[in-house]
Amino acid sequence: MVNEDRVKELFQMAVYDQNESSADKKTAEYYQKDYIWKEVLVSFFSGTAAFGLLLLLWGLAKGEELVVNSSLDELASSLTAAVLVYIAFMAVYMLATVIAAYIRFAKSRSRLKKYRIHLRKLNKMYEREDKLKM
Amino acid sequence: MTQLLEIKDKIIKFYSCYTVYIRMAEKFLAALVLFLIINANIGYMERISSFPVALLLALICCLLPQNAILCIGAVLVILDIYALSVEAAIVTLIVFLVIYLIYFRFAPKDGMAALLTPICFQFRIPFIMPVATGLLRPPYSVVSVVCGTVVYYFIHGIQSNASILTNTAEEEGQQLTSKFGICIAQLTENKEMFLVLAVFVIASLVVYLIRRMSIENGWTVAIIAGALIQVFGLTAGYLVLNISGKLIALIIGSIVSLLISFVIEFFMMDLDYARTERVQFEDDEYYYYVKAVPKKMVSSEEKTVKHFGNTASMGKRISRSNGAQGEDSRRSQIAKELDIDEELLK
Repeated sequence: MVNEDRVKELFQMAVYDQNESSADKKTAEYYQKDYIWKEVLVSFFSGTAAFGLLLLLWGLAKGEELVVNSSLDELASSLTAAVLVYIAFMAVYMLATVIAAYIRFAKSRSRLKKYRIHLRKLNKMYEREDKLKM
Repeated sequence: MTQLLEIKDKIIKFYSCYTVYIRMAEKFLAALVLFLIINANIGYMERISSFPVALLLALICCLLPQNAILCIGAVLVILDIYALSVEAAIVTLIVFLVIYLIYFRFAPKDGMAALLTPICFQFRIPFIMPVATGLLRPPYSVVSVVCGTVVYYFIHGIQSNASILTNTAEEEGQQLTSKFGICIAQLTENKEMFLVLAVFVIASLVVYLIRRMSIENGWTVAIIAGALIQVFGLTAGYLVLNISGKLIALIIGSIVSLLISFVIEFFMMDLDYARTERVQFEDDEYYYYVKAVPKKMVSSEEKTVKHFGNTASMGKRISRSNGAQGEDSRRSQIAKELDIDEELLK
């Protein structure tokens, strides 16, 4: 006969396995601090790439004009401005990354906790059944 | 109202029964509409801008994850713009890459909002997107609407300047930077785009904040507030920026968006505030003040099976040999169950 309680637990676990488990497995490999650092590192590269692309866009539109019409001092000041904008951009981007990584990690841990509760309940059910059989 | 609730109940049951197929149909429809819009507006590459290609790609998309629609759509847009101008295609590619790197690395689940925004713009009802994201998604989801809006205005700008971009390509001696300049100006100098972005962000955040408040009819108030912010904000902006000919579309679009928002509310948060219950209780650590608002629901029909005769003998063979005495006892049993006079059955 089908054990309804066991089916309910198995259903919850299957739903989790199907939807969230792959993402949670990645976060489960890290401590919170390590996970956030890893995300910050990835963001450093992706943010730099994004800023580089934006700079490229600006360069494509205004680069020639800047090179032809500007003096060396003006070029240097433009470069300084670009570096300052880069630092500001990265600061905001990193902050967003830290917040997002923290929330994602916390959510993942709470889902894993629930999963473990279901797993424990299921184990107890099997143990009880084994005892009854013996 | 009861009929509407019954229909809603049936739709939800139908959806839960066939979720897999309905999700596939949703993806297919969204992809097909998107590809047809791309073909109709910027279908410069004839080989990929036909209905059979769009249909085939949409069929493929319904088997792939949601974000695959965005990727395929982006490739189609880049190829179409490449047929118009290589410089415009490079700028488009850079824009898509920046959007991916900055935002979709964090929230890949919001791809549908970014996909639906240009589609809604095409149908003149973009005002639904900030309200819908405010109602259904976390506050940062508005960034996906912002991405969709930027892409729409950029592509619209490229389409409007198609002839100039082609001409500059044909003219010899023209500098490459002018073509890049035209493309980039669609992003940096489009004041209408910045106005729409600001209004959408404000409206979405206001909708989110109001619907989270513990007030009666919070969702309805949030929807109306979102619609009003958009109407007044955009009207004021259009007047300041001297943009004419947009007011009628704005009002009609807002009304349609408002109606769609109410449909969303009906399906997602239809509460019966007349039956609100307030309870208080405590445990060792806290004192709880709970406000419970029941959902409007149709009570499921209870099927009652009325058994006539001796229910104890159900499933057993009833002996017919008892004669008049048995008949009398059956009659009295039925009369008792129906609560009528036994004489009426004679």
